[in-house]
Amino acid sequence: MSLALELRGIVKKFPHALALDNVDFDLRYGEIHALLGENGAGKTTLVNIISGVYSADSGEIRVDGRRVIISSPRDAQRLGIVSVSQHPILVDSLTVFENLALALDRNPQDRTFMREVSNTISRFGIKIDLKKRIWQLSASEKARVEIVKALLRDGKIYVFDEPTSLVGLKERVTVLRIMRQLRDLGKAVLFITHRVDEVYEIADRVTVLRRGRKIFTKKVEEVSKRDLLEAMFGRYSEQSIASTSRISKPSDSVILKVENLSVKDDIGRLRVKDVSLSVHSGEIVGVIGPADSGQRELMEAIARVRKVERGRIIMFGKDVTKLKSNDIRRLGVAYIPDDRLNMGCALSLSVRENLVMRDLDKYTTRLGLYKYDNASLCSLLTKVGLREDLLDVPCADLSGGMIQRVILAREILGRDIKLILASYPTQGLDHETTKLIYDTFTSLKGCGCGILLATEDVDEVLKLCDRILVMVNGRTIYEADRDSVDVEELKEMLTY
Amino acid sequence: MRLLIIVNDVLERATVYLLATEGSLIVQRAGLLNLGIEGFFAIAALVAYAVAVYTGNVLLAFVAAAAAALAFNMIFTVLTVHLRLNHIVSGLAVSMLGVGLSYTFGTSLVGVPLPSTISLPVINISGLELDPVVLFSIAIAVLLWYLLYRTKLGYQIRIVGENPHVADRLGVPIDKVRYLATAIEGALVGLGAAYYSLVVIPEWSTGVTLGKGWLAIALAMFSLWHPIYAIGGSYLIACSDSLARVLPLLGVPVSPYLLYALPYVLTIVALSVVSYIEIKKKRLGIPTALAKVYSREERARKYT
Amino acid sequence: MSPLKITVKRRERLPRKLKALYTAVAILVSFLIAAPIVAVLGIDPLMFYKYLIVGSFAPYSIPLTIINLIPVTLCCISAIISFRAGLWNIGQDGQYVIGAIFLLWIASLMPSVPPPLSYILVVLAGGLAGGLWCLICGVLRAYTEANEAVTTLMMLYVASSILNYLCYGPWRSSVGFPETFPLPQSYQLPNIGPITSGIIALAVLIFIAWIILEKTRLGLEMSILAEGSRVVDYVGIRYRRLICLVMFLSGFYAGVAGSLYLSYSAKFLQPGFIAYYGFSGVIAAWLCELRVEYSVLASLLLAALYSSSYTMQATLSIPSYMVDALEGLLLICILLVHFFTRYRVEIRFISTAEKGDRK
Repeated sequence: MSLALELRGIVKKFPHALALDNVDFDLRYGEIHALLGENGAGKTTLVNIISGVYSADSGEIRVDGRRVIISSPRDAQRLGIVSVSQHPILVDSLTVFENLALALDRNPQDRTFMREVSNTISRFGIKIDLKKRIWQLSASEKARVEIVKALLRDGKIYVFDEPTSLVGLKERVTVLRIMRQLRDLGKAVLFITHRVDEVYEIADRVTVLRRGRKIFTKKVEEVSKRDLLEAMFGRYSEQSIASTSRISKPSDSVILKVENLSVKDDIGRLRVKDVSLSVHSGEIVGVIGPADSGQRELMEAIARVRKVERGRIIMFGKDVTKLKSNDIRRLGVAYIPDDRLNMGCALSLSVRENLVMRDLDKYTTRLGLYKYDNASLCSLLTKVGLREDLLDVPCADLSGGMIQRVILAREILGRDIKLILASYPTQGLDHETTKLIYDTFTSLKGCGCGILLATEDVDEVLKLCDRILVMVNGRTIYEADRDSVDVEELKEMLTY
Repeated sequence: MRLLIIVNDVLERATVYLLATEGSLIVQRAGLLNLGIEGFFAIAALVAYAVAVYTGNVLLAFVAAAAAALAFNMIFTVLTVHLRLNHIVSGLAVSMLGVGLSYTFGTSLVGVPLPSTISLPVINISGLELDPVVLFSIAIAVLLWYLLYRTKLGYQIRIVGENPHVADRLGVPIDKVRYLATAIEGALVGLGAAYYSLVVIPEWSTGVTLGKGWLAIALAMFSLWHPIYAIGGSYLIACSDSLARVLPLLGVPVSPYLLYALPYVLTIVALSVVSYIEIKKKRLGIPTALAKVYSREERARKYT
Repeated sequence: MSPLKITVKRRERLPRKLKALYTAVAILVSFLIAAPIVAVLGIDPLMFYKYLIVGSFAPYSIPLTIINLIPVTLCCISAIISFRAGLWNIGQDGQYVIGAIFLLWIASLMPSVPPPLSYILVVLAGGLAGGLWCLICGVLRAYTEANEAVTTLMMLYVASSILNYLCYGPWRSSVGFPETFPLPQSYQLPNIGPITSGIIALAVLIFIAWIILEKTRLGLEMSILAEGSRVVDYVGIRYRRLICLVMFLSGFYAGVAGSLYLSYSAKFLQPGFIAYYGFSGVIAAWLCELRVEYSVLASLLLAALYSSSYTMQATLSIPSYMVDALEGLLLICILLVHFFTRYRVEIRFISTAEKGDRK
């Protein structure tokens, strides 16, 4: 089997973070090569370099043994590199067919191309309505379109970036089947995943990344599951995360009650339909569901940054449906938004200004001048493990993990917190920050704080939550205590 | 008879607006807010006038104006597309440079009349005077509609303006599309400017073009960036423009100086109403990335 | 395709001194580019440079430069205020005209107000009128999302129409020229020696702007507003009210520029009252990187351009529009500095084989 793709000494730096540190990697024709690593290990950065979204700071890339420079997604396509993105790359306002045509550099009015597409779809056994507009599609349907897009491109090297993480069970089977079909056609397939089981299910070789470094590349049949896990997480960290889950008995007092809530998204579609839930003090409630099922909108509505269409939100016995986000903050509510970069922080402002911006009343004198108490701000930073000299650095220069720590410091530390609303708090974060967040949550829970957690990560809810709600298509379809949850049944529902 | 004069005046003025609006519309569709239009409108108007005076050739004057505007517009494109600079400030710079150069070099042409050979063939339909440029401007509107909604390039222009990140990942050559859009803009605005200085006013004086270019930007916005709606918008504004000239002649006791403000006031009102309806309806498929600098690897920053 | 590979990468922050050096180079470069343009007009570039300096910084030119400095600086601050909040008020010239018109009207109603009070009225009348004029665009932006860059520009032409109407119509007082009646004596700011006392008003206004932007909650809220609507919702800022407030403040400074200029220099209105100080202010704002403390320095350069243009018009008969061209060039050069201080450009020669296959 000849080499399709070779990476030598790839380095990619982001401000204050080294995403890839001297990574070597190779991919052969006729194989499925799994790239395994936890969130933040550098997998997506590597994919982005291969597909021309980022350019590497140093290192070289060879395709078919020839040195190449990939400076745009278009360059990658010319070289026969086809990527299937985790978050489908589609234009919402156009139809499925128009999207496919544009991706293939064809005129969307071209009838003959329509026939080509229909042929490919039926050949690979995929069902999709070509005339529907993208915004009308569910997450699974979008994932299907993304796959069709890749199949239509006649490539040599196929890169699948976590294709199974956001799709239903049926799609998962289809995706794995398509990857095998491509391999059997002699193509080179790179499969990015964080699930060890899938590596055994499909891959021929596996490379493990941890914190931007390559740990090893091995044949799948020569490596044990234990070795893979150790390579992914390091020797002891697997245990340390598990130990954060302590079960304490939640008290009876309800601190958050949501009644028949309906919420619309930015373009006016009803995304949360008639949802009711409650959170007791000393309890962590997880809302989990497939991507785009309305969890984000639900959390934003409860955190009072999104309009409520119908229903009521009651916190500590008080109706807060009409209040604003800073009003409920005063009641002792913390909100960690999922959109860290656009909502969670003001990117071009300094860390100091980001720390005070939600408490301007507290930091302003009667004349409207503001006063900083540097010592207390510094102590906030050290508590979340950040250096004090970052206080004057703009947030734009920080890594995602550091930004989340700043948000954590502002929202949770130094105040009396009774309720935390956390929306995807660990998504895309490094191991250390994730652990810090889990530790903070469990210790606050011990102090009687209630936590509502929205996530897509099954392991996260199973480790952390006392009660689990499953949300699909804007409705809650399942609710159970952790002890009584049937894990297989839960996974089944998430792949609905 | 009087009515015919007014109608012909409206036709001429609307043609200028329509050509400029179609130009601005196409770059806005590609996500660029080009305030530099004021500058190359002035440049093209001068070039057309100068070429007409020195060669006496109408066709050459129009071509030269389009070429000059197209070339000058490339300054804006380089600043915003390659150098990722703020659209509004870059546009302002280009516009000041253009206006400054145009009237600096134009001083020698003030008071110089156009040669008699400068006239366009006119089709006269019972007093209604249609010249080729008037017809051409309407044809351009239809052509641009076809381009935007029926061709690959049109789709590419639209998605570059709507979501450049997705467009880039789909393999659309963003820079090339934006260059093409500004080239089309330059040529169309240049033709409009030439028509303005050669046919509508036909004389050269300092400051004649001021405000025309920027009006086109607003016109494109309240036409919802749709080439066919832009016909309506341009004729509406041309009517109000014409009114300012005609009413005092008819003996209506109103100051012409106040009426000059009418097109601008009307534009502000129309733009506000349309924008308001837009936020209520939350439509898809509009250039949401307008005036936002695109950079593949970067998070959005405030000033650049 | 091409054997050149050009990559643009964001660079680490440059030290301030280096940035200042780059800016100085940019200013020089823009003046160098002007030389061939002047030569085409048939004027000796050396004479051009001579009058450029003599016309603004020779001892007898300094008072004139200061007369121009005041409106340019105020318009610069007006631009800084709105740009800091991510709003694009670029119609300072319109607000400037309206400020002056309103002052003249107020003064004609109350011509006998005694000096200290009348001087305060000069600032307040101009500021209020300019602020309200700009507030119209602010309200439209806040409640209908009409693009404020476009509406403020349109309002500039509306203001200029009103000015022309008044000069040719009801306020015309001279038969020969379209000029209005003069501002009552008590409203005219006196000179201190050769220099206008408007400079004191300027100093106070700069200080107030600096306090607002750097030291108050309002300043911080403005910076957050520039970050986009999602973080604004999160922080809980009432953004519609804030947009209106920022636009009012921005218009206030531009309006004061107009009323002060009327009071210490122009004395009466005429169609040529619009001197496009507003656009110069926008350039100055960009030159000082939106920092009020450097606004005077940046504005000084543009004010100098204005006063030398008078001299050059008189002695070399260079058209006054040459200044606009020069300002445009200057702004383009400053923008280039912005690019080169933020990005590193790497140019590498590569073999054609490395570029992707074309199929």
